Amino acid sequence: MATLGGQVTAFNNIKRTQQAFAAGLGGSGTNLTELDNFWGRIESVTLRASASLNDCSWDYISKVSQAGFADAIWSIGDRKGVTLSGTVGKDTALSGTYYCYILGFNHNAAKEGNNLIHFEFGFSALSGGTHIAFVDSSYDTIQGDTSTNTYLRMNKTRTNSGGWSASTMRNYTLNGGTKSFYAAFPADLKAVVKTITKYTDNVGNGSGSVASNVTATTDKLFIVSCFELRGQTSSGNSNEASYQQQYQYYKNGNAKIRKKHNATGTGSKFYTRSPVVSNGAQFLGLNVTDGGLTIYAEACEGVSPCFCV
Amino acid sequence: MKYVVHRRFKRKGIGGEFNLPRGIKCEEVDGTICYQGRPICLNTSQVAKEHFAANNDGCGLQRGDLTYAIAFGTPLTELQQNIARDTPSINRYIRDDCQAILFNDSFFHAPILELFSIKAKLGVK
Repeated sequence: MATLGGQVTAFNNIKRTQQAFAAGLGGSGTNLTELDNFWGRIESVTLRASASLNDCSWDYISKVSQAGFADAIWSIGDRKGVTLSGTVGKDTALSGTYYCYILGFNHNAAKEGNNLIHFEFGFSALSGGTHIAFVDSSYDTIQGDTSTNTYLRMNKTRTNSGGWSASTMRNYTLNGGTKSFYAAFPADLKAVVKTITKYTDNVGNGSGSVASNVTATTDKLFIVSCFELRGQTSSGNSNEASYQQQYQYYKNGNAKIRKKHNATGTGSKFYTRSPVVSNGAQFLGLNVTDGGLTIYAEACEGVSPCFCV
Repeated sequence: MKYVVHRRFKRKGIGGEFNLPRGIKCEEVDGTICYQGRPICLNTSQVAKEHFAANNDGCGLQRGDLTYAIAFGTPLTELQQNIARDTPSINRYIRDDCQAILFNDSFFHAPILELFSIKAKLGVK
């Protein structure tokens, strides 16, 4: 039979939890109105014990992430559907639901920022499905087009000068105007995407494996580096390994290879953001059989955008 | 469901900061692992998989050591991944996804003898 003492203890436990939770979400943890407001969140956390990431709103995911205990709720590899709409680059028309998945929690937090969930696109389904990269109509060809909204490739010409920082991929295809991947995101996701610090060789141009070439950029959308994907810098700048970590998702042994988003039975090469250091023309990527690849910067290949919440 | 801490948990959980050494007993309430009434994490979360083990049979510490070594130890080689996919007694513990080696929730609650068997078949040290 329950005793009053037990009820008081239970009440105090709830109150302590409430205060801790409120404080974790940025509140003082002592204001009663604030506590009442956060009580709903406590309930939703506990009541969502069986709820999947896909059932949670981006706003909710963002608040839990900021509070610093996202990995106490979700798990690496969990997926969430995102409806993308619009044309990216030259002709990658997106009008459907694609599934991003959790690459890691607080990944490389000391250098990249704390309380962040790192996501990558994508999968074709919530469960099972195909690991995909986005491609365009000129996949695996070299095009002479020099328009701003060009094909899915690192640069419009055969150069890796300026590395990731100066690339067309970073500045236009992922984070640019109306024909960027960011523009294709739904408003509720755009509202919570965080800017993240990423370290990459941002010099390129065949200048070799020079430590000072690895510098920071702040990005909303990015693509993984060779080391973040494979745990090795390969033909890239070996100093990137001092600033980056392999994502836990890949460290766990999960497959890296992709298929085309619009032909899920066909493999797709895809880019990483790491330039090759021995020449001024190529970036690193992954081929369809899980092998490393050097790709001319103006070649049209697959892209798997990443972002943080 | 009873749980036990198999790897020290010293950081923030749902109910604030925790410092729980190995061997501390916890309980599950409606899918949430709690310590003395304070919610720590959902039982399907990354934190649960890496720090807490099901302990109804009293083998939680062993279970946690085994699941951690298999799922979060040295990454599985291609050969080990193929063995995992091709062995019925193992692949039922892998998520329904042909391109990923992510152990499902049942794996983290598997009988202790099955976990010993999986570890041996995969050659995990």
